[in-house]
Amino acid sequence: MATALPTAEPTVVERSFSPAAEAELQAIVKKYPEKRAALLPALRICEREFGCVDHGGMKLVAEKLDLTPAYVLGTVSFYTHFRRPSDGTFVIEVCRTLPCALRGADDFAKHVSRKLGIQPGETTKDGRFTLKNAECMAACDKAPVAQVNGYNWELLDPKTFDELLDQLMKDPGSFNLRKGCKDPYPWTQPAEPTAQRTKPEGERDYEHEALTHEPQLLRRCYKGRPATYAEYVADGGYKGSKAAVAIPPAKVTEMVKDSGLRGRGGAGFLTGMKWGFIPSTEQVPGNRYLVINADESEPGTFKDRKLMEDDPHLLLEGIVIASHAIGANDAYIYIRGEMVYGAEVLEQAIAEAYKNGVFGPDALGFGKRLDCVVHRGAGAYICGEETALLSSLEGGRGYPRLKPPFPAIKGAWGQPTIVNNVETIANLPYMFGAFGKSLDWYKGLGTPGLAPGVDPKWPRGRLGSRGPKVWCVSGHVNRPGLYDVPFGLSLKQLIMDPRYCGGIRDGRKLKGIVPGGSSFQVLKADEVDVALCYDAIADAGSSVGSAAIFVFDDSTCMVNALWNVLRFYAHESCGQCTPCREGSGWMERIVARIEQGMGTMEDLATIDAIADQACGKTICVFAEAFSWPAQSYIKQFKDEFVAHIKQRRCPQGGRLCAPSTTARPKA
Amino acid sequence: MTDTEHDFTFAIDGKSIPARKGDTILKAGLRAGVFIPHYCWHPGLTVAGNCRICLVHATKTMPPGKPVIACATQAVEGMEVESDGPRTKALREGVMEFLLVNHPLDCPVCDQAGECDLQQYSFDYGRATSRFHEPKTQRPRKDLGPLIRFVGNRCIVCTRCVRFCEEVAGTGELGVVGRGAMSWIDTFPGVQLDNPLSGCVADLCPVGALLDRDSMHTTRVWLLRGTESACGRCATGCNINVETWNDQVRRLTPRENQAVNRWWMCDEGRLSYKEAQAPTRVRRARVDGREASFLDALTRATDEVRKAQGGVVALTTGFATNEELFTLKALVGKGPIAVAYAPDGSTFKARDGFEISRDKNPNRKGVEAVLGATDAGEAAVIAALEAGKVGLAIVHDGVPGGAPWSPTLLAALKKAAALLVLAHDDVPGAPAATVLLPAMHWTEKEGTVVNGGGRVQRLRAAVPPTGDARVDLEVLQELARAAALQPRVLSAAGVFRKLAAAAPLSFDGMDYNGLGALGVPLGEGRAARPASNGRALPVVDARTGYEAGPVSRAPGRAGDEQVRVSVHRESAVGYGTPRGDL
Repeated sequence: MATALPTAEPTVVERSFSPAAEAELQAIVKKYPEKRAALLPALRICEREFGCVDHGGMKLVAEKLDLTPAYVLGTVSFYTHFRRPSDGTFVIEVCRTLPCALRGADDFAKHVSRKLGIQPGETTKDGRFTLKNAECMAACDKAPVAQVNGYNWELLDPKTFDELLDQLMKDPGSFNLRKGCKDPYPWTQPAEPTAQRTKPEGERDYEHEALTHEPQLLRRCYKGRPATYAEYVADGGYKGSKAAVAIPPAKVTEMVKDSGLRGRGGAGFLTGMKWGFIPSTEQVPGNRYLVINADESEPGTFKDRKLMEDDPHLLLEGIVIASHAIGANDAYIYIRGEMVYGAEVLEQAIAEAYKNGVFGPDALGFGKRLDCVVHRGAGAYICGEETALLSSLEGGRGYPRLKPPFPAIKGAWGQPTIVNNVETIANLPYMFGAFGKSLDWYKGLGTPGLAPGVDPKWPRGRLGSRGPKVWCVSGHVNRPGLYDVPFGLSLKQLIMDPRYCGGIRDGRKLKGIVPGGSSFQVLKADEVDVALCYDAIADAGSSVGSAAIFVFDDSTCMVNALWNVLRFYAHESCGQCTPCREGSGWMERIVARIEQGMGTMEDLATIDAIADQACGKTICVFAEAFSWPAQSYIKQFKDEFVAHIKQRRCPQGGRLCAPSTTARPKA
Repeated sequence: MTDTEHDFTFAIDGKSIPARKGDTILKAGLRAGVFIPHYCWHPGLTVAGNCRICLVHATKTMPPGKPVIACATQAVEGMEVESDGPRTKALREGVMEFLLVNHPLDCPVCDQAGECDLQQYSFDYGRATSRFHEPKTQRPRKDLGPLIRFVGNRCIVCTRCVRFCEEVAGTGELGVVGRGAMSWIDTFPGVQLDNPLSGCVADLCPVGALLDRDSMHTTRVWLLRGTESACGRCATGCNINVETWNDQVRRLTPRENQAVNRWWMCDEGRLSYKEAQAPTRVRRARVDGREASFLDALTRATDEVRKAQGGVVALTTGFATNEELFTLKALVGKGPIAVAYAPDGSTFKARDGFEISRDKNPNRKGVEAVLGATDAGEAAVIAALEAGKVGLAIVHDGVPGGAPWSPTLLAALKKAAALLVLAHDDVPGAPAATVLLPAMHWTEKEGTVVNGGGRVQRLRAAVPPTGDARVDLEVLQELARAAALQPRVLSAAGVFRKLAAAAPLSFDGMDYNGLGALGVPLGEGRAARPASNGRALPVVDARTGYEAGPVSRAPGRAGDEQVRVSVHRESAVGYGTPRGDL
């Protein structure tokens, strides 16, 4: 037999939970149909009990939940957000993803590194600080962003950071002081209530509708604290859910179908149709589950965070309606691990809701139970994919699952499950009479659909885009932020109009816009005069996606921008399917080489080939998510790629974009 | 599958494929002899669908035009699958290119080379040139357990091994750790991959990431010559390939037999070939304690048989083949036979039904079938010895490490006029023999054994007997010839024919060659015989429908150097081939 390899195994310290932690774990286990699902929450208990998730903690959790230690190790290693044994007291994570990078995150990160005297991944000698590079924190309007032990520090510049750090040194408890910090550009009023129609009578005037539109979804936001139950009810909340539970579930689903509501998470699938796939209890007996996808991690998207942190009851009311429609007695809110504050807010709001009978044994009327559980993720972009989310919810690695069967047939714990985005669910109360609104009001908002066969130009019809919508604008605009503007307004107007984003920063020119999040195609400056709606943006060659609009000014190096995007995807591929696991990293390395002046013309063809070889060949659409931007950036800005290759250097000297010359707003 | 056993048909590359409801494209295709490449899919494990090499284009899938994975997509009536066309070729070429992006090109020093699915598919579907110019990722190398080494850089994260430990062994030592291109297989610190079936993960690994530490760096696999046999370590009787080079066993690998061992074998069995190389093995014949030539020893033994004039008793074990037992029985005539069984050992039941038998005798059932009840045998042998009526006691001890003879029996043996011992090992406490001959290990034997489930299976000689030993069965037959019990020495097939014809009902109708590679249950000899209907010879593929991989541990590989033709004996008459002994 061959001689054994030398081993350097880490030592496993024996751990045990305090009685309080043990009781907490037992309470958590009861919230799920299977013990295993309590794995992620149990590891959070480890973090609190032992300061980190170490091998001893993993072993302990494995014993408590009847899992093998290898399984727990595999799960822990999939996620980036658990505290490692080597982490210092404060883990400072600086966001390096594109929306932050466009607003100076690269320089800021260098400053943090200098200030702390350590490189990313290192811990200071005194064990106080650990610096990490992180990915989109869903606060892109307040870039650059860093997180300290899970709490956001926003609108940072070197000076602000130094001040906050000094404060932290003096008062170590102050790391979470900036939770719920103020937004620089709150959008609570119509852009111009007195605007005049410009279109002839009888024709829809989307510009006028938008200018006079009173923000709906963001109506109760921007208070600097979450809206309470009382405030929410006073505003007309929980009327929708009360009305909905009195309607038979099938009728509720019909109404949602009729509303034309499309999923706001990225794919834009008709919500009512999705619900309609839930089989009858004769076909598939047993539980149904509603799972809320609050794993908002598509770079550039920050609408769900705002909705949850500022107006949690809107989501909870929607949950009651959706649960009633699909016959679920258990709703799980899968929230991103990074959103510590958001999870706290939700927990409080849920407690309030239980107190007021929104949830509980009789929540849905006639003795029908409804329970709602907040389940925290742990740092994996892929968990935003609905089946990966279910894998993670069940306590495993966030691996997307083979479809079919679709979750509506066989989802969480093998039972019919509906996974909906936060904003999708937040739309529901409006169509059932909350806030004095109605289904007719809802349907009147946005752009209409078109039945198949009516117009020869659209033989399969148009699905339309209806209801209120929140747009997340980040990057090189004067006023980045959330815009609660109905579908139909021109993208160009949203960006350039002083009543909205106020044009490009520092008087620069527009170079391009990504309208739907970093997974989608980029539009050039001359292509952006397009209506903000699913159909029109699809025609323009991109997608509304998660409504994350990045704006690039003319100083942006598109090669560097693509490299940034691909770094993100190479890091976030779950590694299950071959084409995505290998293709994402390969592409990233090629683009890195081009940016560093070592590319060849063949590389561009290779990137295209990698994209073609990966797209549509994997379990989920992650392959598309890194292929589409790569192909599109190269197609749209080929001259820049060629210039990098021909000049054998980055014409911009390796910078993503010019630094901003104007002062930033203060939080 | 006959026409009556399928529910519908669909087409792969225009060929009509019969399928049952619920069949995937891959499964129905393999059953019908259409090969679709696969890494992560294994018939004994759940579907993971992650390697993507089995992507095909098919009609009647959603959304139309998007390729689907054959391993997870159910075939439906009238579906048309393109598995061998330009579009599918492009898909596989793409997946192969991705797999090789971070895979080291260390084939010259890789133990899997020659039986590597990655190599084979590179040959079948790979690109001629590489477009990858970037540095490769580096992943750890580690011994996961006593039998398994992990070479991370070669891992393609198909998770076969992880699923095996979870779903079959039920021990779950392995997990995928990390994420994306930096994921690999690992154990928890301080936990060893040492379940009783751990060696199977090396068989399952389609690349050289998990290696059998016992056989690695010893022989290039293309030099190995495989013999389809059955494992002689316990009563399970796993179907195996005995892989040899230069007349030495280099490794044992399992061979699929759904009725016995599915696709697996245990570590104990896997390493059991080492018993044949033990230093205690008897290698030379001895007469009266002095080394002698084999011929001298055999002559002395035959003399003793003649002298004994029927006063012969025999001691045998649960390790003897049916043919040896049958000959021994003929030798003693009405005399008694004592049987010693190896003591019970450890047992293990896998989640999928595979079981390591507690009974460590490969042929206990055979002893019962050939000799009948032997409970009184030992007492009868002792009585005969004590009475001083024994001219020759024959001890056939083929148990590695020596059979557990009872002390009273050993004491009584001293009273035999002559003692012939065929022993596997020369161990303290062995009977003091007049004539000592080396006995064979099961990897050296030709014959049949009956496993714990009552299945008659063939052992095939993979290597020649050790030292100057000769075939046990021949030695026993030489004695029988000397005693004028049979005119000539037959092959194992010949003895088996006599056994099947003469003896118990259980072997009735069985044909040595007809046992094939997978064996026949006791009592089903007649049913298992192919029907003779005067038409062309039925071609029966000994292999079951599908295999673990096209190259790695493919059951067919073992026999490729020995083309065997099995002909039904009634047909053989027509060809002028003598019946039975060939």
